[in-house]
Amino acid sequence: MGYGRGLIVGHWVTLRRFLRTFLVGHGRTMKRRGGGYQPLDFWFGKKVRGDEPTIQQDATTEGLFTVEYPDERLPVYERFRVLPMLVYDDVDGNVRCTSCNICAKVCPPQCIWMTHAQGPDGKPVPLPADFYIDMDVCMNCGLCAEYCPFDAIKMDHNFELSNYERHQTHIFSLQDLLVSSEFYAKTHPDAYDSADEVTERNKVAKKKDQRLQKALGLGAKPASTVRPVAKVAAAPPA
Amino acid sequence: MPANLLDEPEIGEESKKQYLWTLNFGPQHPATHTTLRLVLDLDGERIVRATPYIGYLHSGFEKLGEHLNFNQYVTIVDRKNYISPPMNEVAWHNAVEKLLGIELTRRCQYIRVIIGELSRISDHLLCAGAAALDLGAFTAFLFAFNQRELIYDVYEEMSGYRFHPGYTRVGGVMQDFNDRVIERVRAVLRSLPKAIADMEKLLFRNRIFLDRMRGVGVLSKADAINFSCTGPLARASGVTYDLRKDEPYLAYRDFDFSVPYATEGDCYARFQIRMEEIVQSMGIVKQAIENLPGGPVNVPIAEKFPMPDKGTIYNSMEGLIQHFELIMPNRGYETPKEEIYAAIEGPSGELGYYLVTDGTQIAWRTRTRPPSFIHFQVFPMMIKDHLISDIVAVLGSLNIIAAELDR
Repeated sequence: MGYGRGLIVGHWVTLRRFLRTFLVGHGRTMKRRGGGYQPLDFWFGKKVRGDEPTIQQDATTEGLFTVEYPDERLPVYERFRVLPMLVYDDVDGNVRCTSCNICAKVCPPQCIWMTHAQGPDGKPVPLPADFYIDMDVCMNCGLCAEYCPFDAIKMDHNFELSNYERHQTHIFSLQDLLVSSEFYAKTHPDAYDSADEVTERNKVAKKKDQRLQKALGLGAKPASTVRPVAKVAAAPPA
Repeated sequence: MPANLLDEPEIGEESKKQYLWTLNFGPQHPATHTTLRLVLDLDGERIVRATPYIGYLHSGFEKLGEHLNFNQYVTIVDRKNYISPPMNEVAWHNAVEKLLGIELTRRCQYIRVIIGELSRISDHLLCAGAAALDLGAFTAFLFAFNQRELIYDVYEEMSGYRFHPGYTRVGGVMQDFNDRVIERVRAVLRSLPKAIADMEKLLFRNRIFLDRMRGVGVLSKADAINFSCTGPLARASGVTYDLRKDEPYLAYRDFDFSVPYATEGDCYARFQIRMEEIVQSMGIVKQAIENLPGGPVNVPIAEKFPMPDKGTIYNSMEGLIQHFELIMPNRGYETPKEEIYAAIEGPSGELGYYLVTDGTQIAWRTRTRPPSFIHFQVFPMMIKDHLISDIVAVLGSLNIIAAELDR
């Protein structure tokens, strides 16, 4: 028995791990632990990109457990932070950013820079004309989002940012950074519903809309805020 | 060639130079873990003299501390000892809060204890696992790394970043612990004992492991004190010095734990100390997470220096003014013009910061007292008269992080 025993035990451990990968579930004979694709789905039930199933993986996960990225994904934590994003309000279409430069000041590697918007009479308007973040310099520390006094910068969850060219694609402009508050509410449900942010929205949004309309006259917005403008056209003029 | 390899070769000074030959160990040797370089004078395979060279991973972290304010610099201290980033953050803001005279809230103290002890566990797991890995025991390393993943999950849930959390702030933390974070901490505590039992089963009675660790790299108690060694390295040599007990900071007075020590001073003793400290740290985390106090996590804005939270900024004029004062470079509050030193018990020894301030919100000088730098000095002495293969065992038991060594 002596020498062969270790070999058999070793193979048994491997077999047990393989069997533990699957549960005997309700209705199905074999169910992969943690959700995601089941054995036959890899050939017959594949989802399109952007609709991939997420998998739960934690300390209790057993068996041969591999997340088949990019066909499957792990759930993203709400506080997960990659690049900053700029939020605009869905209701009135205003960009929350007032180009106050606080984020640019506090950024440790100094990767944010922006230009102020000007009204038709040449006066400054509390809007960014353009807003740049060099994503290769950004160290994802989240200090800009923390210091922003207008809830305008939030940290995005999108981590698939690789590209072939650096100078054209890796310097994010205002157009690349803008997201709707609806999108933000979907990715950060807890933070969106927190008491702080609710007060901020109720208090500031209305006032800001009036101020902007006044500064710009007749609701004309800078050309750079194309997406919000489409929303403003539908909204009743102040 | 002498009969006994450990005897000094009987050759004259003149012919010694030709007799010994020189070997570069590192900076790209995989067993040096990062970029450490040793120049060895060898007699056969016996080490006659070892000269360490540092600076291959010099990144100017201390200089950056002269350009970034107290909250910004926390992103840099993470990158020093990257095996246990939260411990660096706790050490840095411990020094800053000593300078500014800020007393933390109970909840914040407990949270910092939890993240500090979790990072100590992850550091010890990696060090003990890598020590085994360098001696050929790959499985134990993977058991250790599996647990480190769970601790990374805690970091990511609490701060949003796995490797460099940047979690602490002046007078508090970035975001409060929520229920999901606490559940993740509990998950770590549930699965750790099994992993440690697995590691111990694999290594503690492993003949090869014991033969290569026992009696290798002995550091005497006198040497440990003379070279100002701290942490597991000193405790394995019989120096029962632990800042958590000797100069309790944060909330360490509240917890019941013991400081393990050994008297052998060899690699095996250090390995055992680390494994025992994981168990003790687990006890501290357990006590802290079960008795986590409620209440606010950040100090009130009357303390001047802490960043007010969003609710305070939006709902009170004082908060808005404070936010403005902290951000405007030509305004802001004055720091005391002082020089202070504050240290905590890091995973591999006393981790301290020496701060010199000139009244602005940016320190004039931030000097780190890294345990790696102190421990790298004893290294040549410890490997003298050993064989080349023992370098790997000794280095693995010292836990030298080059980023912290060179800064």
